[in-house]
Amino acid sequence: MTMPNIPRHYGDELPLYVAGHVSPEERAAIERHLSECAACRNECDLWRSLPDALASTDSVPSAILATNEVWSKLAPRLYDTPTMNGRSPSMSFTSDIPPRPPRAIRPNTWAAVAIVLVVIVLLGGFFAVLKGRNTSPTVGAKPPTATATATFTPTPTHEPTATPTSAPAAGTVSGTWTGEAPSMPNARGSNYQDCYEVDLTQVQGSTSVTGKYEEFQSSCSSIPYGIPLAGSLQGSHLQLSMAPVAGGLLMAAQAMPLKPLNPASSCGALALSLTFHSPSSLTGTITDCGTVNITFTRH
Amino acid sequence: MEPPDLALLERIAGGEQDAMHCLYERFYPRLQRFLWSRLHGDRALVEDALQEIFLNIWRSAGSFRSQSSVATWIFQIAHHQASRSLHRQEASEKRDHPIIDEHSTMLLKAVSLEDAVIDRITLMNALRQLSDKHREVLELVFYYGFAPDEVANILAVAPGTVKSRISYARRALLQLLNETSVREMQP
Repeated sequence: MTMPNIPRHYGDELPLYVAGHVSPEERAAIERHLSECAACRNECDLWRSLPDALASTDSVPSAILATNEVWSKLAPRLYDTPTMNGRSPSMSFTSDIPPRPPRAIRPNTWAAVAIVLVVIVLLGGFFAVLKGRNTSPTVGAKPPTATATATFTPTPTHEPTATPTSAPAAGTVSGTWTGEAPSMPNARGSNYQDCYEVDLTQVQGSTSVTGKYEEFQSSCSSIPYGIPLAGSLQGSHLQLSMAPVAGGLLMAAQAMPLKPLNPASSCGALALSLTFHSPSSLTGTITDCGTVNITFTRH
Repeated sequence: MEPPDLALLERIAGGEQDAMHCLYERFYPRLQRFLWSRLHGDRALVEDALQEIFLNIWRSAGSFRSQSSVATWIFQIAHHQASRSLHRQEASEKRDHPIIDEHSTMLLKAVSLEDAVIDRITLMNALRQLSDKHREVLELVFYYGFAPDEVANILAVAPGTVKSRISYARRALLQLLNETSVREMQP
């Protein structure tokens, strides 16, 4: 095997070049070299395939450590441990933070937590049932802000699971919304903006939407494959949280099999499928760093 | 507009438990996988480490100074915790078997590289044989998408160390792939 007769290989720089972490000057020089060097081009292909291979290497067996399982053990310790409340300026985030032993349990804290949870569940009764399933992947470039709208076509397969209080009865409104997740400047999971708020005060035609919020809530922590979705009630806002997974972004509102949209890519596509048990039309606005509009329409 | 991670952390610093739960569910899959790899699939160790990491986040959210991203900060805690867990298990050196020809100007031969690209299993096997340090730095860059400076923060090393570690990881990986290729070519 003969090495190509070229003045310089860019071997050690190639991983960071492929990962997008070289200067524009370096990038230009490397790309000039790549146009002449098949070996380096081939090595670039290797680095491009690395995320895929890493994703398959040492992947956590599903259901080994379910989200709920760890949380159920963590929560009692967590809620009985005071936060710092920013009162320790000497602790810099750039240095390792030494773990501290948990402090003594305060039973009153649990009582307060229980009360809060009960209130949330009770309030949930006034909100729509949200169900979901995963949707097909959508891969694409991601602008800093993205807007997407969709109309949900009703498919009244069964009666709503909650009794409407003020709005007329309705069937199930279901549909699929697909849009691009906003604001992912560095194309990585941690920058995915994965908290969205649906403003239920924007409901058209009715000021109350009836449903079983707790159904959604309870489904949040039972997503297979350890992929979480959290729902919480924030005043008049229903906040949905979803987990970015290895370059793909997932969202669902019910325990359904989920797959990463594209675990190997840095694509910021977001797909959401909801089944909406709602007695009324509603318009929700999902906002984040960018703004994504989502419209649920009952016909 | 503040990134949601930061907003959540501020709420956590104020003791809001629902914010903590939101952050937990957001980072749980990534941290679980990170620890699963770092702690060699030791379930009990991973579970312990996960709890300690989130407890640490809960306690220390108020100390976050926005000098980097929240994710970097959290992975820094996770790396630290993983190291502590490994140290306690006296396992940190078990898989450290550097196999690097540091002075070679190694380039993967086109034929073997082509094979490696086609055969993902080969690449996965080679990745599994890398030392913990080498695989960790590759994962942080190529799987979790951190920039070298952020990786330096997470690992508490100089940025130059990250680059050299990537360089060594590259050579080790290419050597492993070449050895595999040579073995496969032998009758």
